Amino acid sequence: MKEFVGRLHPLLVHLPIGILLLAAAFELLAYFKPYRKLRTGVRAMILFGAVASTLSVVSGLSLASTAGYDEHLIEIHRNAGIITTIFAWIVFFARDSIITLFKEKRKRRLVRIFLFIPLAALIGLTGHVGGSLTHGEDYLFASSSGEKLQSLQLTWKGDPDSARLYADIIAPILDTRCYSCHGPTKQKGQLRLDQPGYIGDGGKHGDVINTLQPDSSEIYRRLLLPLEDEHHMPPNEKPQLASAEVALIRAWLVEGAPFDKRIADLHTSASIKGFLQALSAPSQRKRTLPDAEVARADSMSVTALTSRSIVVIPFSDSTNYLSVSYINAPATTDDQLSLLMPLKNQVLSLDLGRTSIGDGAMQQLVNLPLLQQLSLHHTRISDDGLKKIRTLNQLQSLNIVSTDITDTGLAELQHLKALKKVWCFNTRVTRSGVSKLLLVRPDIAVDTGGYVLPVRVTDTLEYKAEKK
Amino acid sequence: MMISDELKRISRRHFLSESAVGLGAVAFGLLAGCSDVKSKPGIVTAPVDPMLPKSPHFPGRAKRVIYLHMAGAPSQLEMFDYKPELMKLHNQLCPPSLLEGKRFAFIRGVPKMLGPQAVFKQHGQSGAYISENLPHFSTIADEVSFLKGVHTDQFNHAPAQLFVHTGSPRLGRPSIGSWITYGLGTENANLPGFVVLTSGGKTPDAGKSVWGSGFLPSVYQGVQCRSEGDPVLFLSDPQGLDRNLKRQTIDAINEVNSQHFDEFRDPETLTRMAQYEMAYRMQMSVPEVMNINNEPEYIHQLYGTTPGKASFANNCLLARKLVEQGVRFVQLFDWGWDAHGTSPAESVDIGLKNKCRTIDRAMTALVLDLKQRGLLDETLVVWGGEFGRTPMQENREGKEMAFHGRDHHTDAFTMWMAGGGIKQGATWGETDEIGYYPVSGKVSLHDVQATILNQLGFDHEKLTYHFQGRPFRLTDVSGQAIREIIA
Repeated sequence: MKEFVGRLHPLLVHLPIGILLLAAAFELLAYFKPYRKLRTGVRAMILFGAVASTLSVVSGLSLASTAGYDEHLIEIHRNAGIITTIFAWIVFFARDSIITLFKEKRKRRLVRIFLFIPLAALIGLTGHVGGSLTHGEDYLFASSSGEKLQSLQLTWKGDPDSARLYADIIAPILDTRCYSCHGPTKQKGQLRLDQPGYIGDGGKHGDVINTLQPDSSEIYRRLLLPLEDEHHMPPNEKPQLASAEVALIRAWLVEGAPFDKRIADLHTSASIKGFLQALSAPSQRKRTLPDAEVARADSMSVTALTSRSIVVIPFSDSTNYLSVSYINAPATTDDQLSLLMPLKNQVLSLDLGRTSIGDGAMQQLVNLPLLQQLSLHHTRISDDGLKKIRTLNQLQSLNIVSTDITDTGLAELQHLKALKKVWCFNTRVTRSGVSKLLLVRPDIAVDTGGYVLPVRVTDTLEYKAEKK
Repeated sequence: MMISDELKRISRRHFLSESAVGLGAVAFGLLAGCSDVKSKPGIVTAPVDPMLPKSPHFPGRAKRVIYLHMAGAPSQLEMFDYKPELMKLHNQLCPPSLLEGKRFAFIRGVPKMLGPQAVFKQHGQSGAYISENLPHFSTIADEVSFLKGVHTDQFNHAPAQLFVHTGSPRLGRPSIGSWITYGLGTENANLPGFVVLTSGGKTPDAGKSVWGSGFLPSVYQGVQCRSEGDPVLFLSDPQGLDRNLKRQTIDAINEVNSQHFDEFRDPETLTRMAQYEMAYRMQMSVPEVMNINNEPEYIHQLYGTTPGKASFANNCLLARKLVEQGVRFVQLFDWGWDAHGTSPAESVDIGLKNKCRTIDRAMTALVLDLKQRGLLDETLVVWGGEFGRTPMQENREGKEMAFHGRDHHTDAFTMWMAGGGIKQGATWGETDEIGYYPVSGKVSLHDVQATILNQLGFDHEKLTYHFQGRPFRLTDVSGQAIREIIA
């Protein structure tokens, strides 16, 4: 019964706020002649407001005794709520007598309004503290609180061996995912997780850690329940733990939930480091485009290409940068590349593989300054051609598979500042040519291909059942 | 005026056929038809080719996918999931705690535990455990990412295969390849966007639905090619019909179809027109791309291919040729991995070793060949079965069986991915000491599907198709891209 009454609190609290503030608004308007009629309703509204506040206080007192909230905030909220209610009743009963103390009509009107000022202030205070109780203290002003909850920030950096498992890894995970409901401000299910001592105390349903059977520890088991399960933690609508975070929590429990050990001292330190790596590795999940967006390419110029079966396609729905492929236009020759030039501010990726282009095309590619990715496989380009594209300083990858490029051409690539990858399988490039390039540009990954898989006895060994 | 014209076109038969879909569809069809007629009176709008290349939601890391499916479900315990503890339990009775509340396809009563029937070693910088059944694949351990804790909820082949490829164990949903060609179209105008190749003597238990287009327009369904004989049946012209006459025939048919489309606006008419055009172009392009005779000898040695024979190796080489030509999604099914222990061929210590031999060199060669051609960066290779196999020895009907086999296992199995923006040499997920349940990194098949779509630049929750009154998606109502294996 008590719990039921308590649960009505979130519903009831909004009534006195609305009613009393509306009464104040009516009184304020009634100061002006055209609205004077509104005054007749104010007295009744104060009565309703006072009754609603009394009900709120009663339900609030029941709620405070059942759920775990921050005691300091609860005290402020309780006292402010009670004072607000008392004040509302005082206004209701004593308003007329106070007003009659003043003789002048204009003063009377002002007094009527001024009586509401402390009431509104009290409502504001009670409401704000109540909000802090349910949504957390920084709810109103922390604009980035949503983001803060989403991404876990591990404060520790450096050698994983020296990190303390609890203080540097587990505690920050609990902080981002759990403290808002199981911390200093709230203790849902009578559970607090922000200090080692509290973690040991457990909650309403008993211990949360079971070092003998780590997998049945409540703190871990609940993370694994289906998202729809009402016992799943964190609740469905809250940001969830990344799988690596869950794995780390389990690793900590398997180690006996120590609060002082360093990772190097643990049995499973290798797998823990693996989880950490999974967590902290910068995840470049998307292909990178230049930061600044570009204007849409001229549609006539695009049509000029697409009508010749050339594939021209934006990298995504939300960008104007283009990827161009001549896969359907193998007959393309050097002079036809001029059609690309109107798109020079948009083209980042260009596939000219298996076309009839040669060195003449290279001269024109220089005019595509943003080019990041260029594929020239199975074409007639030569070393001279590669000399011409030196100025493509955004070029990151170059495919010259099955061309006549030699070490001389490969050496030219050292001038391409942004270059990271080169594929030169089936060319005349030699091993010494590659090592020469790598001496000056160790940051380029050169794939010369030519992979062979050795012939093994097992390649042809047919397993058969032994005769019995 | 226009509306009444449009109404006259709805015959009784048309009305009835439309009613099957629902009167709402009729109403919508009419509305859509009307507005079009109003805006462009008298103009026959050229139907748009549904396979034209399109942009994804965000810039993707991969442009193509090769999916290698080992139909029948390979045993993770003899290939990737090394469980020394299980060896110690070999031949002991299975503890009841593992059997309580469980249903198996064939295991009855209390089975015995079956230790790993292969020797494992660590390989590469990443130290991944791979069994001696895969000596070639072991050399590229650092190229791939392993998922050790994949789980499913289907323990029979057909529904489980449907789940892998359509996101639902029941018939009727589009397959991954269909979703992807629907989302991205295809770059090569002369080849289908979605090609299927099978080996091992049988097609998957779930039939052609695993590459079907479900409720998506049927232009997006997978085109099955044969690696022996004519690659596509009935593609070559009959005797006496030359290419010119063929062209004229198709032009005439498409003219009629175009009028039909203009009247009824049925997307399936567009599909039919696109298919005629595609078939005409494929007559030239397919025999060329499907011919591996012209590949140099060192490539045949790398893959272990024998031209003219239907094999997984030939299909791997074809897969490389197809993605090289801009095919968006290539699906390989290899049959014969269902090692129950009923015969030598279906056992984990004999038949499985032979199956491993047929894929080991070929799939390794595929990854390496894509790599040396600069294709692996933008080609996602996925390998897996429809479920895993039990750490217990199968005891069909409660009896001990003549050969070592394992039953279907849904809770944990291994998949790997490579290329297309996937981490190199990573492992995600770990199973318990006997490989029964995942203890970390548990992922669902919807997670795997979400990851594939993510690599192509799709938010799996937004790639949807409106059908029967609501939007559908590949991952149904769950799934999350597996961040831990994305580079």
